Amino acid sequence: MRIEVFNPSGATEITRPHAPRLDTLKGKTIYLLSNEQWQAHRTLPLIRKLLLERFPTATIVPHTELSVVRAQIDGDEVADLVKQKGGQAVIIGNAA
Amino acid sequence: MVLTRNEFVGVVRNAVAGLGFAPEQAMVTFPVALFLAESDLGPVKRNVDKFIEGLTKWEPTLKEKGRLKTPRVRVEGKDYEEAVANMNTLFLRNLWGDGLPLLPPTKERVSWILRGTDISPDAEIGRIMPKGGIATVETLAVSLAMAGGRPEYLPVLIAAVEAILEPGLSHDKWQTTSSSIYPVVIVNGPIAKQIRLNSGFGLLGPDPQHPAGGSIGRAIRLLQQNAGGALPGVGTMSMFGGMRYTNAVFAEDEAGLPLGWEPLNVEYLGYPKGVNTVAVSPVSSATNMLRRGVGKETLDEEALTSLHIIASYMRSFNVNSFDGYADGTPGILLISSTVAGQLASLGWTKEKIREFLWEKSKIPLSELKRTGFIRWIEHSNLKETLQDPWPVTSNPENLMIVVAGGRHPTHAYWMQSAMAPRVASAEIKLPANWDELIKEAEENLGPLPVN
Repeated sequence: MRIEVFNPSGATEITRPHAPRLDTLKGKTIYLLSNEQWQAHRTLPLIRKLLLERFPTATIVPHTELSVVRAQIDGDEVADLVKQKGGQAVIIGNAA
Repeated sequence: MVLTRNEFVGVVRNAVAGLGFAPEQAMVTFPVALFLAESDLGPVKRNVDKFIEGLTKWEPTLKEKGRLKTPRVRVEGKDYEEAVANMNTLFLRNLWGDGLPLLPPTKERVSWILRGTDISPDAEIGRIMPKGGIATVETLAVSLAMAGGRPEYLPVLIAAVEAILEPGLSHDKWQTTSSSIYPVVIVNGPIAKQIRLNSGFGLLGPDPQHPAGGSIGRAIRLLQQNAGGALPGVGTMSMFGGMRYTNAVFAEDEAGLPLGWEPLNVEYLGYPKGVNTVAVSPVSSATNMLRRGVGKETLDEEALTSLHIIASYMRSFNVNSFDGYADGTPGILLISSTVAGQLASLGWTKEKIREFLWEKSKIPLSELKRTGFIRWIEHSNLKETLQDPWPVTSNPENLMIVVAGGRHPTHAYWMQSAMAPRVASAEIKLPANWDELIKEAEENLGPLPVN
């Protein structure tokens, strides 16, 4: 006996590709974004410091520059704002 | 790229899928200990290379745009019973079940369910976050078939999902949060009785006399998980879960409304009287409140003390209500028609009750300071609302009062809302063959229950 049933998970759709990676961080502008939760006030400044030690010519914009509330962090508006300000990549944290 | 904790890998993958990207992401993950106060930040120092790699080297495995379809599944057994048992096992292994037996969503069963709407099976209702699974009418019918549903339930399910996916309900937030939240669907209009939705004793279920709420609510839960990706500990970090396999789907006791009291969909949502509608609000708690006195009080005294009791339950700090502070609801208050009738006879209108509860549920500033909750307000966009005492919602009109529950005076019920900027609603659209479906239901299930 064989039964055929629907897969209940529904279709999904890829509508946009992930951004291409940077060739190097030298001279690049990286934004740190956060909703200020889960020790972001400690981890993100540390990440900024560590990246600047490796790439002194990079601009690592502190998370306090574009502090966003949790309802906005995944919105296109935030991505557009980062691009407008010359950002070439972002690190988002701390989603814990 | 994303910095997160080990257990949130699924949450992040769902989130990027919901935004239209391939379900993968450059991530650096750490154990939860890193994210707690006074944590050791050594792991960040030791893993700085991973951040650099995520920004410069990481690549997704899926690079092409397009729809990722899900083919049907074939299951075998020596007979039908074994095939169904094997399907249930397979669905659990594929993380598509909820632990209770499912009916097989065969083409025949799903086609039967689809008789409950004139909308095309391919019509897209929306995308269920965080995963962004595409909810077509057929996807809904599949879930309803699995949940033991019937065709006449489908219009309510469609309307409920339409409401859930309204941007004002922010379902993407409460689907993934560590809070334990589930949607409450309140049905108004004649359809409630026709499809046997409960509005009385035991309305939160289960109730074999009123099976509709269980099936519709379970179908919604399956959609949240399967299309939406809200799998516990993987796609949703709800610490305790909603405590319900069936969410909460019930009707207002419209026949029990006191004279002059309008149904919820009229007075709160602005629909014309007699229209079939759903109202949806996510909640994070459900509390039974003993409200009556010992029987020695006057009616006036009992009414007043009972409202003080309800206000005392409402007077609790709820950071999840911030999103709905301005235009949403602090919660859903259920009172039986017996209680509503008693209050109405003493001159308490819904407006008066709301005003009283709003005033008496304000939280003293000293309490907010003692618990530290004041910091949550100060660090949010509600800073301007701080006053002593602090109201739990911006205005009395936000409170939802629903006349429902067994016709008995002893208790009331409070469901504290969570994370929704507004209460969502939708009109329920019936198919042309509606009378036929209701007749068939009566032939199958017997006469409509008295209550």
